[in-house]
Amino acid sequence: MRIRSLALRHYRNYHEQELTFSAGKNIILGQNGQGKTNLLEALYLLSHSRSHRASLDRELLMAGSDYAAVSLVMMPHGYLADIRLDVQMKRDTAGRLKTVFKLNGTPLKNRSQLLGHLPSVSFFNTDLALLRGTPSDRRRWLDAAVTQYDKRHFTYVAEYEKIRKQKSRLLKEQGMACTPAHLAVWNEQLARAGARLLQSRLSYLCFLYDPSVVRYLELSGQQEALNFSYQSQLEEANKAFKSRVDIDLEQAYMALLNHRINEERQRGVCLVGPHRDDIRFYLNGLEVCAYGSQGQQRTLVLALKLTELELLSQTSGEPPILILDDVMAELDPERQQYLIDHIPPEIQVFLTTTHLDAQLNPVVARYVGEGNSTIFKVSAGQIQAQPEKRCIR
Amino acid sequence: MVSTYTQPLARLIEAFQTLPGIGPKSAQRLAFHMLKQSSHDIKNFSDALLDAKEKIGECAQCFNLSGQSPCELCANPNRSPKTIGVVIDAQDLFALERTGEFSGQYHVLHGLISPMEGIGPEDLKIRELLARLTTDSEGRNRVEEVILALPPSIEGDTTSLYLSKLIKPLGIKLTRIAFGLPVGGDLEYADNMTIARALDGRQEF
Ligand SMILES: [Zn+2]
Repeated sequence: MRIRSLALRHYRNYHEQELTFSAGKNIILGQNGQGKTNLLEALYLLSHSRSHRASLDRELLMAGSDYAAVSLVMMPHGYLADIRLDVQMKRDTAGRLKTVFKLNGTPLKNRSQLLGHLPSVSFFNTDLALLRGTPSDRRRWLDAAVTQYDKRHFTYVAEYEKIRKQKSRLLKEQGMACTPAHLAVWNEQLARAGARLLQSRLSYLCFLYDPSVVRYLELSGQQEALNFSYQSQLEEANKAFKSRVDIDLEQAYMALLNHRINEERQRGVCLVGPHRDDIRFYLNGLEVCAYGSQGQQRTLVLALKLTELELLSQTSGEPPILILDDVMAELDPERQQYLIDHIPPEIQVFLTTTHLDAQLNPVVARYVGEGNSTIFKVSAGQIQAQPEKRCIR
Repeated sequence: MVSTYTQPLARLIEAFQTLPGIGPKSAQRLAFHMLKQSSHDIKNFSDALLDAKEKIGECAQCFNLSGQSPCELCANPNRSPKTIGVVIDAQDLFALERTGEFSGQYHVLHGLISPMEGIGPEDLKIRELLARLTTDSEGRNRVEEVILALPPSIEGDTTSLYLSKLIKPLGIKLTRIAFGLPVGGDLEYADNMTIARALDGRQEF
């Protein structure tokens, strides 16, 4: 996929901005707090149908504004016609924010319909905290990655969450007073949706496993062996992942729900399900989260992201765009070089950086200098394109 | 904006705005339209509102909205008591009735199970439905099939599941209406969930 142009209106700190991108590297240069990440967030939004960091759409509106719009024009590989994606957010008379996504000008009925049109792999510097973060951070990473690979996953997550919210409310309000017959139907729904979600996560992880192990081995100079496991309360799910066997997860999940039904009623919360799962990473047998150095953790995230890029390129039939938010500064020169060397030439890159100085940032400066790039200078919500082919010295 | 109108007009506009789907602009348009009508027409209109509110109640058998109980549908001897169509509300009942394809009787649940909205099975007309399935007015059970005409949502699915657990043990045939593509609709433009549902509910050809 190649994004030709992007227009932002009242989005975050951008009043009105139109940009034309290079087919190769797009370097977004500026000091911190000027709006570099906001620009990448807008791309992420049109790829994932939600922001990578804002939990509410209203956070995306420029302060004091009651509407915001992002629109982009892109050219799919091997197609003759451009595709246009839009998102429009507007407050209605009652003050509620309405978000509409559009494909070639036609409003989409729901967010999930946007998915798959703009495949992307993104690497925000917040991703570097993936391994030190909470299980919920790792689930969010996993679900976003699976969704890029299989857009049905979005619906699986949404359905599971809707059912879980209903059941949580029931347990919270009624606790021991709720009738077993009523709780049983929610459990049955939860087991069906939960098993489907689990299955989808597990098959992606199986797919991710071998190439990421190879990738890590290479990145560590053949020194460290990566291994990871899926951690569910559902023993069957862990087993299914470990030994790559098909197990009826719905039945197993239902059995566990029944087993803990009274505990759930007593405590008034949902105790069992994929909303409590985690992924554990090990290097040479030691858990990365607890024992890994910062360098190892970053290398691991890099290995995972590069594997995502490789898998998505293979399966979507369309080279994904690559979003790199200030991650270079967080990697040592060797790993910066490795990353750059492993970006296939057909991939359009969006990279933010605070410096392009050949002294301070030699790897990135050299990368930009190789040509086929546009530099965008960002300052206080204003972007100036500098279609230079050489790096700034 | 409304406050710049004279008080009675402002009140009328506000009254229209309480209606579902009516924003300030439509409310304004409706209010001005009403003012152009003759006093007689307006009297007729407001009488119709009050009359409907006073006379319409729930049918004691199917809980449909009606001016009589049993309602016109329950009292109609041409409608088969062997089949009961279960719907959420009177609106869905009329939608089904408009097709002219269903000649059984109805049962209106008055909602779907949804803890988020504070609705549990005990808040719906489920007990009353079961009573209809076990006996009729002559003390016999004549119902042979229950058709669940509930929407393909999480709440619709959950309510259907709940009802199936109660109805299946009675040995009565239980079916649910199929969900799929709109007639004349293009497969290409349907969303994934609709297509998935349609595939699920496919029939032998
Ligand atoms: Zn009736």
